[in-house]
Amino acid sequence: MKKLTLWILFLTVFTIGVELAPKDAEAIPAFARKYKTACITCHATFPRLTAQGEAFRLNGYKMPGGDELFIKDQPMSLGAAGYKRVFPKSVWPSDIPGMPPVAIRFTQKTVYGIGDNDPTVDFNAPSTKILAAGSMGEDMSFFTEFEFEDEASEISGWLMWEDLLDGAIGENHLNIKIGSVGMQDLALPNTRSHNMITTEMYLYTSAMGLHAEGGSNTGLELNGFDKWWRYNLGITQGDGETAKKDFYGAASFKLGGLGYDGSGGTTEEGGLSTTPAGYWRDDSIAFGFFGYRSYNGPQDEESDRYGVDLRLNYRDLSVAAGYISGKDIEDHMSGLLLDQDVYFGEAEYFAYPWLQPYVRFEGLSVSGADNTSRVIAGAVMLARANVKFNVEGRFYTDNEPATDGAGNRVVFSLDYAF
Amino acid sequence: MRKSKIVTLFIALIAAFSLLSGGSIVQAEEGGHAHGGGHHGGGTIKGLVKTPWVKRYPAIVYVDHVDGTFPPPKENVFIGQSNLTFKPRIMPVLKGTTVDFTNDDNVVHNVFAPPGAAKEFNLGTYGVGVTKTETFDKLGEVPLLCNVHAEMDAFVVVLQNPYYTLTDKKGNFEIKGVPAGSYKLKVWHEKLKEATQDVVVEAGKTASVKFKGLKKR
Repeated sequence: MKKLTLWILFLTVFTIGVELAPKDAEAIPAFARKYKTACITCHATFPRLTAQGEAFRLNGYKMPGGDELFIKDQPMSLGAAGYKRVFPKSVWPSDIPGMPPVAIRFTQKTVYGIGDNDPTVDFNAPSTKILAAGSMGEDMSFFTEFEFEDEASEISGWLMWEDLLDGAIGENHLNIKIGSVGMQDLALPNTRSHNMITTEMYLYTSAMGLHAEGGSNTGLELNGFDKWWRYNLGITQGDGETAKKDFYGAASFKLGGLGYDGSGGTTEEGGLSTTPAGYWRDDSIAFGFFGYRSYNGPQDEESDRYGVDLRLNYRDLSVAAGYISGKDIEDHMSGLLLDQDVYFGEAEYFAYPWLQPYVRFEGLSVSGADNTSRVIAGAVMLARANVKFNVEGRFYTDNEPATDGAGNRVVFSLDYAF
Repeated sequence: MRKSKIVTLFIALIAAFSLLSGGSIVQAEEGGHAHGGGHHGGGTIKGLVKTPWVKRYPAIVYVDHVDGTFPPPKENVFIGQSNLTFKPRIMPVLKGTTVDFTNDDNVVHNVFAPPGAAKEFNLGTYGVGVTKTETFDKLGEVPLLCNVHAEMDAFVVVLQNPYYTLTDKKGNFEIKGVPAGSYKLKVWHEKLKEATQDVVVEAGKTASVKFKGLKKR
């Protein structure tokens, strides 16, 4: 009850909301160049996607309703469309981006520890991401990311082949993605690092071992979408050391606003509900669920995760909530089987196009251990469309970790992409 | 460049002459070929193909069938190949028209029509300055490809009568000199499914037609 009261208090004080349309793409200025359009066409605030951006992402990095019509930087043809008639005596025609579809994103955090354990100021090493993404012809898209942070680096990427049945069961109802898949396509993908407004990771994902930071494991995924629904079914290598594979399934539904396929919207023009000062608006409700079976560790400790989520966007306010139940099925190493519950509520408010305060309350309970709960509160400020600052506090309301750097803190973050 | 200017000037002169003589004009893409024709005492079909696609690629609007026989032009028309592109890319022609495929480039080219074309053919690979010809004697769409440069493409659309035109970048079209009668007016576009509308043409009058809601192929 105390938590609930605190949560309501924060909501009232900050008058904030959550923007939680399902999202999962990086801010990639290469697309801004290709279409000669500003970041806000697809992001509010980057890297979080607008409804239009989400439709663009789902559609294989192509503008719904005739991508060719919007392209300013013409792609380089790898074969005219007429070569489809020649197949199999020719390579299926395609194209590649006219300019190298490469972008760079830079992030640097300064952390002020305000907990009892580490009252220090640290200028963290910056992280840099090199991103390359785009489409190849009408039915293929790709994404590659190189991330460098301190002395570590990480590479991920995928190729998606869209509309495998050429619309026989509905356009974009069956696509296959090969490469780095997994967490980014679960029911609440905005919780992954690529889509967060906050600088703080979500307990929702990080506490459940759902690869929220890296965002993926290697495997393949079938997915599809229509105006009001989307789904993902995937199998990945997992973290185990034997041949057992993780697998997952997710579905999301959306009522109102712009459809996942880019159709619909609520303005009199029939487009996205937006104004020149409200490109982020998408009055809608979305909800989803997912299940994830994973095998971790040297002996394939087995666990299940089931999650549900709800998202509501209304004018300048967004709110969202998510809940995951985690259950260890088998643990060969310790024999200790844990039940875990994690939840969060989040709100974000567009006070100005360049200023969005936000707040999140999240909690974790693990069988046999003390409950953890905390509040993430802050604001994101756009200095330019592609340059942002976050000021954000992390305050534990229950069970503040004693580990250095893991307790209460305030973070100042600089983030830009070009 | 100089040759292109001469061709453009030539086409402009033919267009002006045809307009003055009251015949219909086919708007050709990128300084392509104009086709004269028409029927004294006929009517005009004027209208709009409402789709953003026409800004990028022109549509052909044509009367599907008109009673009578329409002899093809006595002189060949031509589609050039320069800077690794077909010029013009879109060419409506009257059935029986012979097209000269010139190689105005500085590399070898090939011209072929793939399976599924109204007429399948392959002119082979040929060198700079060489011209090969093909007569289009079957109605329908003929995509053109070059097997040396896979990105090159063009379309010849073979039609039964001379009452056709290309849209401008706003989708506007006008076909003059159409004999009075009831017809099916059709739209061809390389990216869109064919659309048809009924139209009644009266002598000395203008019939208006608007195509909208065209679906992607």
